[in-house]
Parts: sequence; structure tokens; C-alpha cells
Amino acid sequence: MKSLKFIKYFIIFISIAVFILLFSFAGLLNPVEGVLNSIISPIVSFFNNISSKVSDIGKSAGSVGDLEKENSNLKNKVDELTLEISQLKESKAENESLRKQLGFVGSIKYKTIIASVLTKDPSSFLKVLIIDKGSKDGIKKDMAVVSEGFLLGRVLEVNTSMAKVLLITDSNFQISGITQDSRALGIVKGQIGSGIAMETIPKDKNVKTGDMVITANLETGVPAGLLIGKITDIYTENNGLFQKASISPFASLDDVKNVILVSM
Amino acid sequence: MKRFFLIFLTCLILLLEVAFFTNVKIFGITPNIFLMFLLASSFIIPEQDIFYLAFFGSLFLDLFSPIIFGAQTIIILLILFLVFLTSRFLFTNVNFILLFLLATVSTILFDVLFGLVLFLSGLRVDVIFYARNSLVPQIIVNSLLALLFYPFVLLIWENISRFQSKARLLK
Repeated sequence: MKSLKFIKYFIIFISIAVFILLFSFAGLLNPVEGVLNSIISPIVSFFNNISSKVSDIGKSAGSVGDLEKENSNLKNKVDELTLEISQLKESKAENESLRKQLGFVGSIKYKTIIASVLTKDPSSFLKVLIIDKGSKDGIKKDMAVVSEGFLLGRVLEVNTSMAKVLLITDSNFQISGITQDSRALGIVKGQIGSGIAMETIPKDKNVKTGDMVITANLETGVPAGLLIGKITDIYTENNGLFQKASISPFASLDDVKNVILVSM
Repeated sequence: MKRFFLIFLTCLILLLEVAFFTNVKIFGITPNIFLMFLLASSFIIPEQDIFYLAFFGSLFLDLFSPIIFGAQTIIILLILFLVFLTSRFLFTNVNFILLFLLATVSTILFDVLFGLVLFLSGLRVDVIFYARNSLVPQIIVNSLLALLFYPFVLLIWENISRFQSKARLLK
């Protein structure tokens, strides 16, 4: 006689799971999830640090040969940026003096919250990071998430002590963006696979490769002017009415350890 | 002692899935280690213990999942139920072909149900892109894991049983 006890256990546990799902759907489990997360977070963070180091060792072993070339490129970049900084300082001084003359209020300050990355979503479907700060720290849904000064994503889901961040390269991600030089407005979307693109750029706008794309101030909770990426390719959309541009994101998405959540 | 071993191994596997293999990917994917461990162990460990492990382990995974809390637990319990049905009524012996088949079907079923929940939550999933790029490596890695887990759990389980019988005799 074959044992059919598993049917009994299945019915018991699936019934409890359905109740949990219903409670969760009603938002009644957020405090419980928060407590569990705060207990589990340090352990997961510890394991994540180890795996991150293992991953770093693997990557650095494979890239020793490229370091010399990269170093030389970076030195050139530093020279270029030093020149640019001195020009910008001049512009800033001029800007401040003009603002004073016109009686403008000082620049708007962003509210920032620093968080550590606990882990990534283990499923292969979404590009999601899990961070160790939640609603009790002031994090809200749709807040912008920045890494090293560049837009990394937006908050997808929050519970009391943890939040999930949808990365800009996920196909569900979208935000309004504007090109810094040509002031062309468009929708920045994550692409299937990887990478991001700016869509619905008006055809009359003279967008060029190398143009910087920043956030426009059209969504609540996302400040304007956050750097997204650089245009690498431009083509006409299928309907012939708009332009579409491929963007190379500035944020390093593979190895993020800390992030800053920004809101206005 | 057996239960202590099971709980320890489950905790280790869950931490590996959530915090280790998300950074150190195999062929670009994070394998469903926990699901494969349950699948392989379902032939060795008593049903009651497996369902306890599946339930609490899946709730742990749910904490880090982008889908609604509890949904992944339901998916894993359903798959486990199907594994039990298949192994009790369709096959008499455990062999590598059966493990490979079950691992393949479980991987596909898990991904279909997970994708369905994402879709119902209003999130977009490109099924064709996913099937072309991730499904095959996922099936291969998961099957290999199931094939590794089965002899490993069996060996430890038998050794603990032997040790416990000796201890009883000495008493």
C-alpha cells in the first residue's frame, strides 16, 4: 500500500500558505515581514559579502591584463575632468552672482538616505536589488535610487525594514528623461535583455551620440537632474514619428554595495 | 539528530540561494537550489518533514522575492505535491532519468507559475527572451544539482540511521 500521507500534509500547508497570501495581499503581514527581515538581514548580508568577494576575485583574476590600459585611459580622463571642473567653477560663480542679482532662492536640497545592498532577487525574471532600509527609515515606493551619483533604479516595494529596488535595465523600468545639451524629452525604459533606451524623442530635436541623459522633473518623488547615462546610438522609431536612442548607463549595475535613496 | 541535520542543511541551502549564487552565477543564472534539494530529498526523507521544510524554507525565499509574499510558497508546495504524485503512482524506482525528468518539469513549472504571478502583479515578463536565454541553462544546472543532492542526502541519511541504531543497541 502506497503512503498517501503527503496529500494530508499538502492540504494543511497549502491552506496555510493561501491564508498567508490573502493576509499579505491585504497588507496585514507587513509588520511580520519587517520583523523577520530585521532578524535575517545580518546573516544574509554576511553571506552576500562573502559571495561578493568571491565574485570580485574571479573578475580581477580575469582582468589583470587590461588594468594598465585602463589606468592610462583614466589618467587622460582625470586631465580632461580637471579642466572641466575649473570651467564649471567659473560658471558656478557666475551663476550664483546672477541668482543673487535676480533674487532667486538657493538650490533645492534633496533628502537622502544611505542603504546597503543585502542581496539581489534570486529569480532570473526581474533585475531587483534588496536593500536594508525600509519604511521605518523613511523609504517610500517609487523613490529614486542612486549609486556613485548616477541613477540606479526606483523603489519597487517597501516593508518596514527592507525595500526592493527595480534596476534601470529591467524591462519594467521607465522614467522621463531629458538630454542635457539638446533638451529633448523622452521616456527612458529598461530594455529586454540588458541596456536602456530613450523613446518618443521628438523628431525635430537634434539629439547626438554622446549626449548626457538626466531625469526630467515629471514623476513625483524623483528629483530632476540625476544622471542616467550617455547616448550611444540614435535611430528612428518604427512609426517614423519619433527618435529612439540607446543609452549606456553610468551606474555600475553588477557590483553595487551601497546606494543612496533620493527624494525631494 | 536527523531533524537537526535537515534543518542545518536547509538553512545552508537557503542562504546559498539567496545570498551566494545571486553574485556567483552559474552560466548566468541563479539555480533553484532549494527546490532541487526538496525534489531529491522527497525520495529519502519522510513526507511530513519534507513539507515542513518546504513550507518554512519557501516563506524565507518569499522575503526576498519580487512577487507577493506567500506566492512562492504556494508554487513550491504545488510542485512538491506533483513530485510526490509522480513518484508514488508513476514510477517504482528512483533513477537518474527520473530525477532529470522531474528536475526539468519542476524548473519549467516553477518558471511558468512565477512568470504568471509577475504578470498578474502587473509586471512585464518577456517569455521568449527568457526561454531563449535562461531556461536551458537553468534546466541543466538544476538537473545536475538534483542528481548531486540525491546521493549526498541519501549517504548522510543512511549514515545517521546506522549511527542511531548502533547507539540504541549500546543503550
